[in-house]
Amino acid sequence: MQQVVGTLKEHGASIVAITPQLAEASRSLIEKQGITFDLLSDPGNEYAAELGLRFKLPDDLKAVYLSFGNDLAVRNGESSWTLPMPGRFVIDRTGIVRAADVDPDYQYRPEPQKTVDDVKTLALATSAPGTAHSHDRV
Amino acid sequence: MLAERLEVIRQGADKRIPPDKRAIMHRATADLRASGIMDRVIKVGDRLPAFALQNAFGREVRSSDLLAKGPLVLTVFRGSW
Repeated sequence: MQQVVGTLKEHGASIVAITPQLAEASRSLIEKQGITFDLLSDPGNEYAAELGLRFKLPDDLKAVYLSFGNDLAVRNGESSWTLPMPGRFVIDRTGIVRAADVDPDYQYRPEPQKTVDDVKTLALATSAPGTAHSHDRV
Repeated sequence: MLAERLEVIRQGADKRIPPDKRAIMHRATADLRASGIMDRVIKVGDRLPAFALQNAFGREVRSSDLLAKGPLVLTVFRGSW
């Protein structure tokens, strides 16, 4: 996402990422990767659940993670052993979802360019002459 | 392309992870897909539920404040691991 932040901002969009991990890990990621947008903490994936993204890891998968030394109870600071499906959403200024890209495969990520295109399309739709919103422009 | 970089990571993981563990991981993803969870995910045309969440430095960020400025791009990820 970081590589398209400038382009998204040029189109007037805000960018945030949401993660269940502890803020300390997010601060480290911000530093290492030079991230300039906010990483918001979602303890227990409560907000992700509101989006329908939260799932609980089955016991056999939990055992695999623990065998890798990956203890989600430690990483996330709580013991629910839930995670969000990865997703990206574009929301218009009235709060309506205009693009949604989600997949159960944790390795899935939507192409950043796809999100740029979604935001550009939104910008065109809301600024086109003759639309209901055109009189709002100054 | 991001998809190509992810494919390289995926192939690396497939070599690094023992087959029995890999099978559990792949089956868990397939089970999740088959569970119907995708039918309950927020979709185009729905209203985003409002949020008020802390950023990595403890400052509260509200969706209403962000949307007052313009459109919002929201990414959800499991963590930096």
